[in-house]
Amino acid sequence: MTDIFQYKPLALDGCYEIQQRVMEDERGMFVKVFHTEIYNKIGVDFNFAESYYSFSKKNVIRGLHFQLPPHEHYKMIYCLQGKIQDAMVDLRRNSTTSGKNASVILDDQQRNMALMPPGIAHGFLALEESIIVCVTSTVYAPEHDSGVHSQKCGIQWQIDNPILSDKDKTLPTIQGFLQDKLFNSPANN
Amino acid sequence: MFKEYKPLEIDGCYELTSNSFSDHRGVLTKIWHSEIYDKLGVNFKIQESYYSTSKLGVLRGMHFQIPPHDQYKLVCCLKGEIQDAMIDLREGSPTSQKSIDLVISSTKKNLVLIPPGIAHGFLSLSDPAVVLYMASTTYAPDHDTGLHWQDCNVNWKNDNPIISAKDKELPKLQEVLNQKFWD
Repeated sequence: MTDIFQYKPLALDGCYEIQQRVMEDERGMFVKVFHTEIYNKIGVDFNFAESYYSFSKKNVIRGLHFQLPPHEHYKMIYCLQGKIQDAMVDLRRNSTTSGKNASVILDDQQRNMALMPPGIAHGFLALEESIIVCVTSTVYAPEHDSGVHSQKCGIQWQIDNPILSDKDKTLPTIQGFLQDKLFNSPANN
Repeated sequence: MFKEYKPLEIDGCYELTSNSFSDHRGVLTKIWHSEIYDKLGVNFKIQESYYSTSKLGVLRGMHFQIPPHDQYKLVCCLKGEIQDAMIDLREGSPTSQKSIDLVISSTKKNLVLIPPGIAHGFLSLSDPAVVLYMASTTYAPDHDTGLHWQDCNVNWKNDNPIISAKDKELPKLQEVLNQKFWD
């Protein structure tokens, strides 16, 4: 079972692109998306605490979001239908990739997913009408739920006029989060 | 976090209804929250998740893993709709050998929670049906087995479903009960 997922590191320390395992036959398709032992192999003890899925119209950006300590979490995300530009920004002050961003295309053809550690702000742009599934290692904590503005964090989005929520339009830049050393403990490095 | 936790007619099986939030961007729907443990008095960890896409008329089942790899399973339908069915294989259960079925769909936003000792299967009522599973143990090929779909007292909505060669060969109910996997 240990060779079930292929994975490779993304440009931010601790972030990975993982290939889902797909089996097809005359009935349809079977896709494996989460397996604790495989995550342990990557070095991630991922507690499957909450999961949700979203349906997004084309050109919607959701994000960038993250939770603050002590409710920070790992996040795993994949595209069940459609295609997204999935984006991440490193808010960990002591990380080798602190302040940097990375993007990866997730879609229903590649059947790939992204895995990111605490201290990473995450968002995505729907390049088509898309269904996205997200799994997090802690549950939603409204008081610790935070974000950074998608247009003010260095990400080169593939479109210029995205559809945002009112809440996402008012999110701050990344500077304050880096200065506040929110994600500074050894556990988050 | 879930709108409703409704006990089904098999002991330990529940129908959950998700909370859903809509705005001009689309819809967001919760499908798992660890508060389920407290609400239902169950204790397990999600160890594996997978989804299947099925053409109209595909039947997958009836499946279960035997001890020590038996599992809790959460089933939800992210696209389309299915006739979801289960039968109680636990000898000591107050609902032993009882079978039930219900429609779960992306519009009803309902999920089914199934404890260990229950065989589970579904019939796709749409083209396609996308069904997501969350399970409390990982797949154990040597402990993965099933029960024949025509011998589980389910009134399927399709008499001539598309079935895998493997599922066609699954044993009859009496044969499974004789093994006394759960007493």
